[in-house]
Amino acid sequence: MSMQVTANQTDAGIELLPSSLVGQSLRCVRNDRVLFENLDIRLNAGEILQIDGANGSGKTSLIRILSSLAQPDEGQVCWKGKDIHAFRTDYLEDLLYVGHSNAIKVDLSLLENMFFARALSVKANEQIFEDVLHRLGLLEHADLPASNLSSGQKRKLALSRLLVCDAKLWILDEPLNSLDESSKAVVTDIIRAHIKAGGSLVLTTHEEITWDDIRINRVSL
Amino acid sequence: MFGPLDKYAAPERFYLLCKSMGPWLSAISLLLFLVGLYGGLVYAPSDYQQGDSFRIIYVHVPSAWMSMFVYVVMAVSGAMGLIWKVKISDAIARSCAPLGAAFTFLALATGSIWGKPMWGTWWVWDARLTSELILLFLYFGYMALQAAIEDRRMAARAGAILALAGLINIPIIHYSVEWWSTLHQGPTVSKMDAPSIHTSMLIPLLIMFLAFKLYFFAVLCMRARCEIIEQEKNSRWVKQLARGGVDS
Amino acid sequence: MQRLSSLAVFSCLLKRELLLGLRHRSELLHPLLFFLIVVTMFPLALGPEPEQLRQIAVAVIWVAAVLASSLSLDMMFRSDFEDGSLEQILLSAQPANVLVMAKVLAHWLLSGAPLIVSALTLSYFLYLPQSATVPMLATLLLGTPIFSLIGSVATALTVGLRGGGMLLALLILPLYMPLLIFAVSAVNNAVQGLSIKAELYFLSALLVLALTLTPFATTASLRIRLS
Repeated sequence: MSMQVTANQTDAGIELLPSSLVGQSLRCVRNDRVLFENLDIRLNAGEILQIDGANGSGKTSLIRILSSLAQPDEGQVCWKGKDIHAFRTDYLEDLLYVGHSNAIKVDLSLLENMFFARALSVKANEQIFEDVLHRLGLLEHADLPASNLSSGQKRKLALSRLLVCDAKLWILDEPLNSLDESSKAVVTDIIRAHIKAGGSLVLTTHEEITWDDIRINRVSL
Repeated sequence: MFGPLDKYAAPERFYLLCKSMGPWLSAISLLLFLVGLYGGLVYAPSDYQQGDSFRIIYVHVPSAWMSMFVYVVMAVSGAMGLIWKVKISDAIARSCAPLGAAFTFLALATGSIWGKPMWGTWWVWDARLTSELILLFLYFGYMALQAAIEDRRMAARAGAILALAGLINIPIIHYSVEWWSTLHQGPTVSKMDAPSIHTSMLIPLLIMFLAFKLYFFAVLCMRARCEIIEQEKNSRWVKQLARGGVDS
Repeated sequence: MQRLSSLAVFSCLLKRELLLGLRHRSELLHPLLFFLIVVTMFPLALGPEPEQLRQIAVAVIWVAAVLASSLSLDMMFRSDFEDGSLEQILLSAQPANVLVMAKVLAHWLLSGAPLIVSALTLSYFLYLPQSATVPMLATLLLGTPIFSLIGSVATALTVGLRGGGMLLALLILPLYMPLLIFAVSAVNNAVQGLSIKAELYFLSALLVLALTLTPFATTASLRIRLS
């Protein structure tokens, strides 16, 4: 491991911490339009990477490249010094992704949704589902089909994965979308706890997030 | 990755290679066509059973061979694009599809024209013709998928998987259709390329085959050039090319 | 902290698919109804003479089964694609092939298996001889999983595309033709009292081939469509 890090240091001339996400000279072209090129990003443990930009500026494309769903047209993304496509399984074990869509089955109850979401993650938390739902204010719907939920409640159910799965790196696309103020507070608390525990976070959001004691790297597209 | 081939795998180099090769290939294939057609239509003796109508094999057999060959080229270059991300192979695969479909159609059309005097009908459910027909469907499926996906990269990669699936299926289709036809018709009377073909008939056939192959590569060069320009239209060298006209 | 084995995740996902399928019972019936209606049209078009119907029974049932299963393929990945579950499946650290196979198996259980039962029932309506029932069952048991497996590749390639259903049929039907040939020839042999071993071996070989290759192709196709 240490060998690899040193090797990378000389190669790229940037320092790599054990759990850091590094994107080098990323380029993305969609429908003949260059969304970004020569983009370098880096994120260490205990830090946040916030991606800003107008609609259509390529925020979601960048998120999808960082999550290994899409491949950049040029450049590469490394996690802990290893290319995320070459070492996909290692990367995915550390990754938790909540995309633009909620990945909720409206015909399943909330508890069933959480159960299957947890089954997909290799490292699951021993959190009790009812506690998680209580924290998110969804406990009363626990056994009802998710189709009964409002869009904000569905977003919260999607974010319940943050608590039932265990991952070092979170990649969240507009996590606070359609949430009311009190829910936003709950979610930002969850995020804060994750960072404080040494986790990392990549997110896109229109909200202003500021904490004095947490470093937020900003990328503007 | 490909050693000496590597430098030709760059789109710009490949474009220039195609540009210089294209005219030569066209010229040689035209020459071979003239020789082969003369040999096939004039020089070769008539068949003692089929008379002169057998002469259509000089178009039918090469195009049937090419229909398979082009599919293999398409699938293999698609796979190279998929695995090694060779940019030009996407362009090659995409250029192959309409050409292959055209060869397949030609094989079907000449087969049915030959069938009219032989069988007294334009279409017979003969094993070879049926296989060719299914192959034509495979080409159409590939082209439909390419047309349905807007993003070029994604279309190329999706097409490559479909072409590979088709490539695995072609022998299975071929033998299952053969099986089916022997079941229903007994030993088929449609043998178009008799095993003991006379040398004076065989040589023009081989020349025609070569002519078809070179024709394919000549047209492939032209089509691949267009595809590469389209694919790389944002790159510096294409913009330069557009500014400088054809002489760059 | 707990770590699920691949097999556990496979059965978990299978359970989820079956649960979802059962909560959408009416949708499951659509391919079956289509199958019944197509088969019903043949006696209406040809006339009710048992002798004539018996001759075409095998072909009609198999062709209708091919059409019905190519229609049902569309539902294999679509809802997961639309609601983002597919991203989660591909971003799971569990082997994606295993997860995809769970979905394919679920699809077969929900659409292929009911098709087998109704095909057997319909063979009575078309006066197929009793002796052909078991061969019919055998070919369907071997053939319908191949439908789901080969179909999963084409479905993955076309998921989320405009006009996906028709395109899917266009891609998939040529690939089904060998299957159709072997299956129909097996049952016809059985009707004539001949051996059907060769065809069944061929079908088994195709099944093994499909089982070996399609998981990789389907996973790769899904990754491409999601990129």
